[in-house]
Amino acid sequence: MVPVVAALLAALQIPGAPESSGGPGILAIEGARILTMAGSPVDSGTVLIAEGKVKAVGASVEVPADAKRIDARGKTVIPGLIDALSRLYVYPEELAEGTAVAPELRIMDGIDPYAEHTDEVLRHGVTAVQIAPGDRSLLGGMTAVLKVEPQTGVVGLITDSAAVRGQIGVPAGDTNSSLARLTTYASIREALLSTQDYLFVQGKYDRDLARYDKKRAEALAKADGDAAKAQLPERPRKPATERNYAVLARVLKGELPLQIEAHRVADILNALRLKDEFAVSLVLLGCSEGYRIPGEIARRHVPVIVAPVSLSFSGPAPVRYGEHSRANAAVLAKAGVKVALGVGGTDGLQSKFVRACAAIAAANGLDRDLALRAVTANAAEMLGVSNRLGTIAEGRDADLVLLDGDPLSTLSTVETVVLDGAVVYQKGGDR
Amino acid sequence: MKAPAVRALACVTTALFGAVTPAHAQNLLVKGGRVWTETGEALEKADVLVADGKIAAIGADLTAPDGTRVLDAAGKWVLPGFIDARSHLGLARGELDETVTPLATDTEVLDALWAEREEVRRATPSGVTSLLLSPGDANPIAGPCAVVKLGHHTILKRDATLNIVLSASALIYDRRPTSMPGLLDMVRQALSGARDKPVGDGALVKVVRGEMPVTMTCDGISDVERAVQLAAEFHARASIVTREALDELVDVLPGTGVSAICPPLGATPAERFLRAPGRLAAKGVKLAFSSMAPTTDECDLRTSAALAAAAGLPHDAALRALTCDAAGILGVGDRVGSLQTGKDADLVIVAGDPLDIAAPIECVIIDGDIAYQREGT
Repeated sequence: MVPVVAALLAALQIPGAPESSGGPGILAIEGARILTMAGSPVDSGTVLIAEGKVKAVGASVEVPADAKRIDARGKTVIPGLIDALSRLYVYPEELAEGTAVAPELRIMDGIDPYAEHTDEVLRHGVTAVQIAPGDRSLLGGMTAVLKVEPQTGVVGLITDSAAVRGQIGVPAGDTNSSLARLTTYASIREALLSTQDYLFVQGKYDRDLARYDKKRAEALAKADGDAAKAQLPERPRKPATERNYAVLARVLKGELPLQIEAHRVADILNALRLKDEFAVSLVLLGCSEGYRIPGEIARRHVPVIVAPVSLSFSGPAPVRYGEHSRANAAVLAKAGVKVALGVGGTDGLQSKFVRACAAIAAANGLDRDLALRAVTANAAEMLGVSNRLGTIAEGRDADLVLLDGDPLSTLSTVETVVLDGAVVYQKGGDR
Repeated sequence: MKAPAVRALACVTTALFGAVTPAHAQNLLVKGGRVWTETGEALEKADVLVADGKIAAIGADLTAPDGTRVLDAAGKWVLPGFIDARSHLGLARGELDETVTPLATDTEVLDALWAEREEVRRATPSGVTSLLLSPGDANPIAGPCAVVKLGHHTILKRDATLNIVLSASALIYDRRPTSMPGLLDMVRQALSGARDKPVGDGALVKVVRGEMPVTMTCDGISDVERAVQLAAEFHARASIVTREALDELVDVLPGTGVSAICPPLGATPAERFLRAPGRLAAKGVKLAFSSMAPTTDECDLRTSAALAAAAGLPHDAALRALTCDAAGILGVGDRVGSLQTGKDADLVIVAGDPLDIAAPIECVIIDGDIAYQREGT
């Protein structure tokens, strides 16, 4: 199958293909061990890239004559790493929004495209991040997934509405009061109940309007249309559109995931209750004490973004993290929970530690393949961007990382980073 | 203020730390590992025999008496337990500094210990076997620091180092000193007094006699320069603890004999900080790592070493900083930090290269007892 694809591609690409010099033309990474994260690894194969996308991957891929070639024998290629909880592009001190319920806010409206550190994060093979609003808000708004671009002001937006981010227990901060923690749960639940009411009113209007329109059409069709028209009831009045409820309505319909940050058992259980009650598409974020109730999470098929993996990356551990354990991801995965990892750094620069996080999780029992998956394919899936990121497969964005050894080993170094088909970092190069 | 009950508990656990060395159930033979020695040499397929909490022998094909428990370390690394050169692990926050007394020369940091805390239990699987417990930073002379062991919580050295704080954190508005010159003057007067008219054998006297090292907490590089000058003036063995000026230490420390205690590097992600340990080592400055727990993760000592190694610190220097160099800086090298016959049997067995964070810690042995063993091994 692969040669056929390659032949087709060759036929497709040669006319009008951009020149390989400069810009993301046709690029072939040859002879590498390829961990596609979408099936079994290819021991020695080629990734063919054109126009920023992966065109073919496999053991025998035909490379067009004008392709730029990278000899990657002895190297390992992985998909660009994803930090599922980052503070790149944002100023952490600006994230707190009281304890607001503001699901309609978009973190994208508050980013700094010229943010520091993106080059350095990119050098560590991290090519995409999820950033989230409202560090302390109950419902802080919509998270975004962005490419990590070289510092040129380019915004590589993948989605400005990956999920609505909420928090249970976290806004209570260091307060060790169960009442304060319960309030956070109750407020989110209240917002969802109000959204149900909103949906009911909107739905009623839609139905009333349809009925009215039908009657009106019938009246007009009649011979004495004017008389019939005079007898029509009043046109139903359109209820006000409320943006916050409109966003939460998408959550209730399962169109937009609800990402709830919760760390302690009671808070996690409350988040799960929201799924039980409203059948939302729930993703747990943080989930520090998840290892104590892996079965509760697994049986509801709720995926988890474990963050922080190390408290050194997240700054002083507030009470809200509960009893943090480095074995958390491993225990959850063993119970059958789909796991991604987020650095959860205090500073955007800490996103460069994504690989270290995977290594820490692996050293503490997470299967090595799953550890790598947790910062690539699984992360992409949970953020709803797996059609573009997280795996090396035909049609996916050509965001790739070449390393000189096992990608999980912190003794290995990143040699080359490819973003949208262009080499943006080469070890020992200019950058 | 914590409730009196908490204070009472702290006293009880302090007593625990003072307990005599526990009886050792069993001798251990760690067999066939790659045994790392501080010379940088690794003995391939070597055995380490542990008896009565001490290292009894190191070599190939050792025979052990009957009843010795054998731990297979084939294909694994065996090295001395890691030493955390500055931590507040298990210390009750908010109870660390007697701020009424700016010169807390003879306070007892162990009186604030709460050894049953979760974070203390969590630290053992990280490979750390000894740590320097330091008081806080609110006093110019913050007090003596103790080196304690995890596992059975024994005290390795009660007055191991004296913590001196040349940082704004020790300037409190309603008490002297309120300025950096005032702080320096106060510390200098105290040290001069101990040198010129020594009374008893308090911490200051030991410092000026060169019997007790000082760990000096600094903010900026100017604080570091003052600390180095002070150490030279009183011939004190000194090490610097700084987060902000870590990258600038290389301009000041080389040639002074003053060592550096690195903060947790995961919390200082800028490349200039990550490269600092490598640059310091290249100039011959002795290094140790610290967790600063519980402000940061108590399990990240090895992470710091690995991050420093990835940024240019040579492999052996990184391992030495985790073990023998830390022991030397804290003045406990006679007991811990290296695998030598007669030293405390504090060992870490790692499934792969210790500086590969993904390599699991398989087993931690403290004073000859297995303090942690990885599930399924």
